[in-house]
Amino acid sequence: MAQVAVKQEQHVHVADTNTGISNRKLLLWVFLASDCLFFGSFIATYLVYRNQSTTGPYPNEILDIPITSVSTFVLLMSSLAMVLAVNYAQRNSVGLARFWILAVAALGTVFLLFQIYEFTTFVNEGLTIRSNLFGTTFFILTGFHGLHVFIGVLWLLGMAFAHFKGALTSRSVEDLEMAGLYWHFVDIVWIIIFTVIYLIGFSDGEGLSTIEHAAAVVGG
Amino acid sequence: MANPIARAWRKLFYHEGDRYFLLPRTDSALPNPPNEGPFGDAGPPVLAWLNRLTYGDRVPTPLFYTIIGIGLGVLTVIEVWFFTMRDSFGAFFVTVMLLLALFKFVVVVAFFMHLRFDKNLLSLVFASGFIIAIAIFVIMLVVQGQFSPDKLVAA
Amino acid sequence: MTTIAFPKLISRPTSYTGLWSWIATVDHKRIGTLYGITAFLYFLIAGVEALIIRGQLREAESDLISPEIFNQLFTMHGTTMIFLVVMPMSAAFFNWMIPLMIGARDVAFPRLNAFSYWAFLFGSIFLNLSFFLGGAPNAGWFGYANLTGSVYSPGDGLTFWALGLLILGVASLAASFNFVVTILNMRAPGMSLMRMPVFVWMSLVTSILMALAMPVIAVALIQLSLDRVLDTNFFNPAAGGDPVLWQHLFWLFGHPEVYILILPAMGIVSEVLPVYSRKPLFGYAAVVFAGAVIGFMGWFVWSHHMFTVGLGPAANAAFTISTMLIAVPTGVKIFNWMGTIWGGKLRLDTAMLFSLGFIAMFIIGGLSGITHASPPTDAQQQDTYYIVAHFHYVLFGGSILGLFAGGYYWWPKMTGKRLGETLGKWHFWVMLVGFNVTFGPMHWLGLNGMPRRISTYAEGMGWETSNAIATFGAMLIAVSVLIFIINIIRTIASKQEAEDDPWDGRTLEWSIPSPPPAYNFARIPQVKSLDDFWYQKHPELLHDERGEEPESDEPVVEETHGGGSIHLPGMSYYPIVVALGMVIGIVGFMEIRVDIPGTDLVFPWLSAVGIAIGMYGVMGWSLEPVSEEGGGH
Repeated sequence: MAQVAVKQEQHVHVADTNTGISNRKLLLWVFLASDCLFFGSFIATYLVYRNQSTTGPYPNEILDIPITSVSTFVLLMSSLAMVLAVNYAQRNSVGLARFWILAVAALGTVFLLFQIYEFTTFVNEGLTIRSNLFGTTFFILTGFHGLHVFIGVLWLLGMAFAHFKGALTSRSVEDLEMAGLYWHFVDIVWIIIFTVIYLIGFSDGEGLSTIEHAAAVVGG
Repeated sequence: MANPIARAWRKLFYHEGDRYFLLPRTDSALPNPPNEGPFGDAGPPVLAWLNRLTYGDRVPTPLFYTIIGIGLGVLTVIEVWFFTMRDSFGAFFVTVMLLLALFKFVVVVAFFMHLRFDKNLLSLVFASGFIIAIAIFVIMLVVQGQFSPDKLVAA
Repeated sequence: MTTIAFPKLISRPTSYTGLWSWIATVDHKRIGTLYGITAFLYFLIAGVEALIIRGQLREAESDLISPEIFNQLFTMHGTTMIFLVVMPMSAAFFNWMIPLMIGARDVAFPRLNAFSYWAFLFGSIFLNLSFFLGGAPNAGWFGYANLTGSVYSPGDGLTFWALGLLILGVASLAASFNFVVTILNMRAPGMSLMRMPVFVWMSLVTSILMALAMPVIAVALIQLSLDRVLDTNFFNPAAGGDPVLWQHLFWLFGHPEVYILILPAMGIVSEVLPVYSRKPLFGYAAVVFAGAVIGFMGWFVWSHHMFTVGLGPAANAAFTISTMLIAVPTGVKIFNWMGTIWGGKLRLDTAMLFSLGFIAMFIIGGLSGITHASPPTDAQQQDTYYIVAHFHYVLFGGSILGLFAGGYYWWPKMTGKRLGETLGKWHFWVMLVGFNVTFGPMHWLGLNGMPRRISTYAEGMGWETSNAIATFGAMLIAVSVLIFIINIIRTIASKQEAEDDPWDGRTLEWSIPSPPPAYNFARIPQVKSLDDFWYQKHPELLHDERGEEPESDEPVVEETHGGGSIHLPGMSYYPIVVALGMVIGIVGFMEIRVDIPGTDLVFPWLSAVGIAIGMYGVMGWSLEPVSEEGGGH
């Protein structure tokens, strides 16, 4: 009797799998683990090339910390909005969930607009993907992050307009949870990028020329 | 069970008395119930209050997430504030910034991505990717001489 | 779930025969067959490339082919053998056998599985088209920067290489995610992780390695393509770029890749040996943990490929230690295999012969590998034929022989007919002798100083005899492959029908008909121990071999998959559409050409078309119900 009662109390949906985790959610987490290596490689490339550019503009001449701080804050708050959207979906309030999904998409778009502004400014100041190592590594790393944000915005908009119309099913709640996990991952990648490339890397300047560098290595 | 090594060993290899890594088939067989408080059961009153916020219907309450989110925002402000006075930190600046970033990272993963409330296997999957990434790229940077004296002088 | 109207161009196929049913298939067995056929065709192509290389090197100062063609051939031989033969052939066995061995009706994501295959097929075709479109890649299979930059390799070959491998990487990633989820989530009731067959364990380790290693090479290839197409500076020394970074990124991927290539073969051998020795695998847990440890330690040895780069004594010493340590779990496995054979009632069928050949050849290859774990000796061996001998002993003598063992072992299960034993034994012995005659002499060629990747050599270097012997051996290998093809044709033409369990097998795939029905298991099996099928056949052995008592028959738990009738996922065109869109999108990247240094870019119209096709496919995919009749079970 007691066992029956326990079973009825258990309203968390148990997926029909060995691990109790639905296939899709496990897939998403494996993908995120894999994506760690993807962004890790780009960030490591950036770090290997710190202070190696032979021509300007250098990070200390061009990075705009106040603007980026604002866009970082926007992305962080979009993460908060995302978690609220998932939370309200889990509580079965469709309207609030939809509101917060659209809020996330809006904040993500604002972040992308900040990035477009930043890129345009940099290009106008002479930093392109070809100008030096800093330009190459910076644009490609933040560009791929921006691409992830863009895909996330598309995903969320698709969800807001295709799925979140009628009554919620456990499947559509999980759809949103997965989009949320992806979104938070994009956010934590930015947490690392903001700290490592903007705040710590702000003072990076001109590198030693190849000959000077070789001399330093040999001399040291 | 008192010995933590023995406990970890049992947890890894002799879970639930069955041999080796038997993954549980049902939710009730999980080691951590889905609504366990993130801060354990003990602690000062503030933690107990936070714990209660995570016991909302069956998922944490919006208030709990809002508190976490505002906390993260404050941390970001602190980061930028530290940045403005980076000269007074000297050599510790990088360390402090990295620790702050790691802290934010862990908080988002644990609460926003709710790994703290989810199955342990998912934490294992994500941690394996993240830890291997950190390990191999730090080794690569060391081998590439990123921490060698001449690089630090150049910076 | 609310559905919105979505324009369907073609209606979903329902017939299970005909060309369309193969194009739209989501059945793991059919996808496995497609992988196998494709990989075997590439095996033949790469073999022909190798024969031409050996023909050129047969005598000193030969001018059979030009040095440029020679460079293209060895590059494509290596690339093809690794990415288009061993990896997809392993994927063929993964696809076929993982669901059968864990008692599942399909993989976790059937349509993603189909997507992986089509992306692999299109990517491989794209890579090989380079032969006809301005020259194949010619910088070696690890494509060291900055030889691969547009300054030193102005043609399009290396762009084909970078983008082709990028597509193959996406295909491998999708496949690996799928297999990880399948193995963790889809096991039959009672099959705990430590009751899984070793092959499934090794598939799990391989898939995890693929999931984590492929992104690194993807990034390196993205950087290389950007350097080549958009003139960025990643590997451009003139702007301060560091070619050693490419080596790090490549080998960060490349060393896990080595284990991606060998672990499936190790898993196959671990299945074959117990069956033909009629003994349980010696030290099951040790074999499993050795595989897992190899998978972990494989991440921390990559710089042993770079001992001669000049990373400094501290780095070299550290990587020497880790490299020598990783030999320990490999040795554990070898001793376990020998322990399995020891005292067994051996049947020397072809599959068993290939497995024994695997062990012997892999030991030789492993021992020569240990010799270049030490930087001083490695400095002597680097870029010589000794290295070529070493990795052919582990990849041909290891992976390929292991995969042939799997082919002979599982052929009856896959096709319902046994491969001929007589021709099979001829195949094995000719291949083993030919293999040793080819690659054995390369050891002393290398120690005698012959560099790898030279298109010819001067007379009087003392290399003529060994090279001539090696070329003769290569022809023996070609003969053995011909024997194999004849064997296949004769088997297909024959009227025999294999039993469900021809080898007295131990694992679940032998409990179902040969070939298996589309739904695999009419009733999902209940697993009570390791090698459950064996102990169902021989309950009296359970106590002696496992120290367990047979459980009394519990009432069969009502199966949870599918309910009353068996629901199979419906066929779908969207995987091939998405794969096509992705490939066109990535290929279209080549269209972005720089007219003058500056910002003049041509609009990547081909990429735009590809992205549009891909988006259409993704939308159709996500809105398509899994099967038509049952609403999204």
